[in-house]
Amino acid sequence: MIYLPDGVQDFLPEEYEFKRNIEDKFREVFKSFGYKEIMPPTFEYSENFSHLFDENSMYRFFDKKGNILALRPDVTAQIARIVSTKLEGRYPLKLCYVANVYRYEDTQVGKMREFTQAGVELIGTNHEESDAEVIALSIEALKSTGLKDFKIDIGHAEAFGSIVRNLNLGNEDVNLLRELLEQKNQSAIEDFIKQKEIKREEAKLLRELPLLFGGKEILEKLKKENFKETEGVLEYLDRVYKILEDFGMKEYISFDLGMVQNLNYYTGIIFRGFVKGLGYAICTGGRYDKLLKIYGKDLPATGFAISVERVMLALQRQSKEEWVKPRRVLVRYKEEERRRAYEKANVLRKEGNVVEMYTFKRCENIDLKSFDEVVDVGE
Amino acid sequence: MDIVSIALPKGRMTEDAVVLFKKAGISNDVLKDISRKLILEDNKNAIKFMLVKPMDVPTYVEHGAADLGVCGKDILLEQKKDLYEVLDLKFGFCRMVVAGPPNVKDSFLTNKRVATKFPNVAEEFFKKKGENVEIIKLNGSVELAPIVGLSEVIVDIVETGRTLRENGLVVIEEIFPSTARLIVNKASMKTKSERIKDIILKLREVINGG
Repeated sequence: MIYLPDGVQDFLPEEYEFKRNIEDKFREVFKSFGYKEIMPPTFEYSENFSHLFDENSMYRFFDKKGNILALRPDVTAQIARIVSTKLEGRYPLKLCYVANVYRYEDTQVGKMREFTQAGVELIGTNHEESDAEVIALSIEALKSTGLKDFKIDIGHAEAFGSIVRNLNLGNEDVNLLRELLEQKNQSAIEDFIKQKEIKREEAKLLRELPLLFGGKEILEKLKKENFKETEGVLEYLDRVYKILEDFGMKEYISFDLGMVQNLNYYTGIIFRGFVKGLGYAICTGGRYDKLLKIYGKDLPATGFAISVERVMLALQRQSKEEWVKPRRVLVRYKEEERRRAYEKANVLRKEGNVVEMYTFKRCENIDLKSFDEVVDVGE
Repeated sequence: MDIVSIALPKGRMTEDAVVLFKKAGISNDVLKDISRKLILEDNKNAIKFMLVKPMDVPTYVEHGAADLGVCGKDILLEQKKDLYEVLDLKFGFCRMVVAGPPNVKDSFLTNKRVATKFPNVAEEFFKKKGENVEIIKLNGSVELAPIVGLSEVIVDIVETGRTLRENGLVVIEEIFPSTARLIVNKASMKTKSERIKDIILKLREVINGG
């Protein structure tokens, strides 16, 4: 038996067709919103990713000259590099991609080491309308696959960021607190507050953050508490929500003010897509206004990436709707009629059918039942 | 009302967990129904308990087969699953320790061998100390390993220390203390948020009050 390494997989025809269909839907929707598809290389110099990714989480290797290369762990960093160094022109820039990325993670269900992301980046604008646009686009993209029962959960990097800035914590403590918040670990946050002797106002907010999720009412609830730190965040989320409401997307939106992101390039709104019954996000995104500066151009940006394999998983669980498959037609022909048969087959192909050709003699071994229609040429 | 399913660890923590949920007004007393049944339904409160092996609780919760779970911190640290760990339930206290025969010396010419049910915890602990060790994964009766020469030390959970003493072993070092935690599936937290928030708040009240 020949095995594959952990974290990679083969897609056999049926499954791959399913995957391609989903990817094509995403492309179509992205394009219809004015996003242009690009494709960066699969690997490049490792240092281009090192601002964002721990070197141990990347697949790294040497070229013959001794340069260290890495398989891309993420496309956003590559787009930031491209926009900073190669794309001149008018902003905003709208780019999209469907590409495989590689991360050296512990493999578990829903976590492969090679996986496909479909995403968009909207670069050069920091208006709330841009954030609303990409959130709306992520919803439209997910809807286009027939996915049901999903929610886009919205938070803001500054909810956590503004509190932490007031606390004067060291880097290690900030990371610890972020981790505790990510786990919504209320007991450990309580211990942290006691241990660091955090002041009453901030402590109160920190205690509440883990459970500050739910519908729009969460924003109202927090507004009543009058925390200075979160004032701006709440106003901004309110404005974005109003736009999404006008887009008719209320039912897809929820909020989580205790949300923190693992990738630390986010500076503003952050969001994740969840499907009922699936324990991990199918989509992550947000605003990253400081990333492009690292590559040389100081531009605001926002975007998201959908994990294609996870969407496949979610769709399979939801008793996937059958894709409309093209008709399969068999053209049977006598050898003398080959020319006419080929012409007939091509006409049928142009009409959108899948057509296979066999002479009557060879048809003996063909499974006729696998075809929707049989067309005979000659005899 | 959505039914909330809760995975409970079969064994020493079952009773404490059921009592806590009852005290918080989340479910009826289902203790008397626990016999060989694996699923206990409390239709009045729209709660479903499932009894699973302690080591399997995080798996049920991560995959959403259960919305909530009660699970020892020791197991969470060993398995590192993708889920919310929301509350310290403050029962099921125990310690993760390195233990061995009393005369064991901390210097070995070759790699020290460590027998354990918690290979990840053990590996991380010794790596942090800068010690090279050979981890031997066992599924039970770990105390036996040093006695029969399978390993020099063990890494295991200790409650009272009786089992260790009975086998002539002593605690050499404590790795971390552990208690039962309430864990939540990440999607359930969002899709059944009202009910789950209510459960968390009720439990929090009982824990902080008592």
